[in-house]
Amino acid sequence: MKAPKIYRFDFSLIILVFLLVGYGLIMVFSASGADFKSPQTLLIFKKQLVAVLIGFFAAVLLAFYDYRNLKHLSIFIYGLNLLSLILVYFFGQKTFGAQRWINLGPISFQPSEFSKLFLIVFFAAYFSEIKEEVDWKHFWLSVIFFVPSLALIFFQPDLGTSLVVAVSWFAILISRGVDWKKVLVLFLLFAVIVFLLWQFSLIKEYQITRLMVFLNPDLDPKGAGYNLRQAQIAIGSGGVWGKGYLSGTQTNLKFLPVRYADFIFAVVGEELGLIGASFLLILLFLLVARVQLLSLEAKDDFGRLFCLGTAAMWLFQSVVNIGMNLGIMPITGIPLPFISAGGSAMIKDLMAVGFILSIYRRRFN
Amino acid sequence: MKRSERPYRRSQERRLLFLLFVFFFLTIIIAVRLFMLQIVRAEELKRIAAKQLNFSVYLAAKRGEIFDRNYQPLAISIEVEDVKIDPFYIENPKKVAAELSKILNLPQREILYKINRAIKKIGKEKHGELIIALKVDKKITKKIKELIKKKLVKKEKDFRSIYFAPNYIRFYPHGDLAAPVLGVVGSEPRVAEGLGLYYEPKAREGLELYYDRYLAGKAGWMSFERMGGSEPIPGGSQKLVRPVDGLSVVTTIDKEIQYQAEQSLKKALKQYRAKRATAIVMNPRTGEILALAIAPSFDANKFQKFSLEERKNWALTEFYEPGSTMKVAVISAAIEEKRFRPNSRLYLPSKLKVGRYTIGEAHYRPAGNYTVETILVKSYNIGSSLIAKSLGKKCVYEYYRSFGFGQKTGIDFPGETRGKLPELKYWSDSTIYTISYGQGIGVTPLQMLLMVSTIANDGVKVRPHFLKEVVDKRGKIIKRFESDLGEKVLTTRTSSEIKNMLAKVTIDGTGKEAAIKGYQVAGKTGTALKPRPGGGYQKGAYVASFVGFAPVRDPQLAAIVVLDEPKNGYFGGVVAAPIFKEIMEFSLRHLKIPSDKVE
Repeated sequence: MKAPKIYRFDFSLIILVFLLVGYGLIMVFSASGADFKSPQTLLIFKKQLVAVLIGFFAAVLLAFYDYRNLKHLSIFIYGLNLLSLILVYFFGQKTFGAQRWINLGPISFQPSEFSKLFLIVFFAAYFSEIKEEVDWKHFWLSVIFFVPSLALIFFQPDLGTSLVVAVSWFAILISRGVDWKKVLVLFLLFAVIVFLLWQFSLIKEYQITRLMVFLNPDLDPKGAGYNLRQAQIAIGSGGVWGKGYLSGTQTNLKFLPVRYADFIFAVVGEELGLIGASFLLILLFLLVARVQLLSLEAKDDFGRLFCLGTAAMWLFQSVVNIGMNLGIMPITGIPLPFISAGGSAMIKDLMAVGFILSIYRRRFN
Repeated sequence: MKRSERPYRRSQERRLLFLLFVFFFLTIIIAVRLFMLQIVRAEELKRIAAKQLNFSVYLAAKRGEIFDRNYQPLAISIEVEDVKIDPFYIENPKKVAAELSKILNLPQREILYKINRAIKKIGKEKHGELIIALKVDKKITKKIKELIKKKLVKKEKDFRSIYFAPNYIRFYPHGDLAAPVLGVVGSEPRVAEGLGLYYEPKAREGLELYYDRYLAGKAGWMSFERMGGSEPIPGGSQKLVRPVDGLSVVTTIDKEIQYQAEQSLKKALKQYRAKRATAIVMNPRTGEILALAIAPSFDANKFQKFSLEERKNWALTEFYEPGSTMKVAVISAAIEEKRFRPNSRLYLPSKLKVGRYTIGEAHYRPAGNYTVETILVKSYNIGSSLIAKSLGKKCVYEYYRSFGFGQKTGIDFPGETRGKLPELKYWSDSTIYTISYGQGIGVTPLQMLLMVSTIANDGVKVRPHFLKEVVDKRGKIIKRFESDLGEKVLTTRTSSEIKNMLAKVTIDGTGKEAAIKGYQVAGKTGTALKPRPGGGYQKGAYVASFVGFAPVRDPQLAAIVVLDEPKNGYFGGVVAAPIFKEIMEFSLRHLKIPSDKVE
């Protein structure tokens, strides 16, 4: 059976993504246009626009590409991921005490962002290859595949991204079906690692402070606590209707830290109020729900697991980022998918969308 | 697919349903929180957002000056600068501290500590300011400014962190001159929203405090909308509330007389080894205080080094047992009530027994008939006792009241005491006797001077005061002291009779030492044992005083001198009268008051 050509694309997903990307660009424009101090006003917005164009282009290519080919390339993708993370380690550019960027002349990118996607592709392929129940051998092998990437990201240091990749990996594992013993072992392993990191002071003090500060903003009232407080003031002062687009005082007057990235949700809350924030929340909810439902349509396990891994990534990022803006989650520096400014993240997310569209197109054959 | 499709599909759907449920749950939590912030707490957070938008800088007001009656400055405000630091630009706190310590002459450690504290409090990412040194001389800040210029040419950005804010210091050009009268101005730390810590001048004592409402002016604010980093928004709304300079107060004090009075007291303190001394010179016609000297005094420019006790203007805030000067009040009452004439004769025993007490005289006096005038001129205790007794309690009490004892004189000075005039119901049988020669009553030196001034002013009691006028920066008079008409206590005739009697005190009475060449001087001596707090009197501890006026025909000046615990001699006529003479003589000549006596 063959569907009419027009139905080969999932238009609900396409519309959702267009709405989200458009919303994101509108908010980044507001957040970056007000940067008085920088002589390059709107620079961040322009960069974001370029990233969106590249991302759309990549998404279209991927949508027409048969995703099943990637399954065979997954080990190369894994290698590429590891290589890029090692390169960051040696040649990366240091900003704000962390080495996350690779500079290639005029463009720079963040390999750890792409890691999120690459690892989902790799582990979706890995687990879909296992035809029987996941036994201990498969389980430990996946752990061995996963740990180097995780460690490289964690020690950049990039706590937020390492949490995101861990959650995606865990989601794929669960979706594939794994018995409770292995889940238990995983949690024990996690506890031991955290304990060791803590014992050997490998967790930076600021990371602990940032994690704890949402419970008690006074821990660091001028630093992380300040950010937290300003974000809540911004959102709360927006009220139901908001202060109006481009009229947020918290945003435009730089009370909000990294307002175009980590705290962009606060910009939405301030300028567009409860209405705008709820609208964004609904869009993100529909996106994740849509991708989860699409996983049921996938022809094979690879596509299904990819969809679920991606949905878990977006869900986790959205919840943690918005929770941070609202002061109910720790500050981890996780961006809001499709909304926060950040070229690598935008390109990666749009690539994932292209991937999912490709899975949908081939659901019948 | 090797495995059967259906059960796999079903377990997958179950898992997905569970995931969707978790997802939905998280979304609900976020929605609730959003509701809490944007609806429940919206108003509160809106207020906070609006408030932190405003950033203000404190602009000190220039405090008005205090002048003497001839516009000679007694207290002035000098422009200085506060040195502040904005940690935003600081890379190397040590370097900045080292350079500043050289110029400011402060230990490097102290400056470094302050810079580090600023960095800790404000953070390096934000602008803000913290005071490094308060009220620095402009000559020194000029040096710092030159240093900054030099350093910025060399691109040492650290030095952009130093800021200056205008401020003022209170300066008393004559140091201790009239210090207890002028009072002091301290500063008080304040904290305001969007402004942080600043120091506000605060008048604490004396005329500075009493006339603070004119002198203080009004501090200004410069508030501007700021960005998150505290820097002003270019083109943002700015609001400048200019500081309003304080008005100046012109006092009735005559700097020269004040100086002379203080010098005379200092000399007396040395000569008689007295604990302390005070002198007041007043115009009996108007109530203008020309001088109020306290010795020992204090350096007003270093007032923090002196205790409250040492800074006290006790001529107005403390009372003493006056002794014989009080007889003037009793005899005035006797003449006014027409019970006695100055030449009425009374029989005075050499000793008078009153219950358990025996009243005696300071020097031996044989029993016999003496005139009222003699009683006053020679200061006989038994005489005043018998006159008081014959007037009766009520009459004496009422005259004391109408002379102003037991009440504030109403002088424009904070903390004036009423003194202590016991109410009639507390008078014992002996009170009527003792109170007639100034025991069992507490008066301030000013109250005593006021009584004598009232006699000098033909029986009209005026209000003593320090304020002459209030002027603005350009010298325009804003307000003048409004003198009330005064209260008629004695008839003119009684007054002139008392005047004549008091004039004899300096001719052949107890106060011969107060006589001045070329002027007729009237006055009365006082010598009193100091009462013990528990009752009874301290042996050997006296208060010696002399109060009087001149010239007798047309009194222009009244003055009182009080010495507390003089050691080399203790009679008012011996220790206080010569000082009175010195001060009065100088004042008469300084004011070019025509002489009324040919020698």
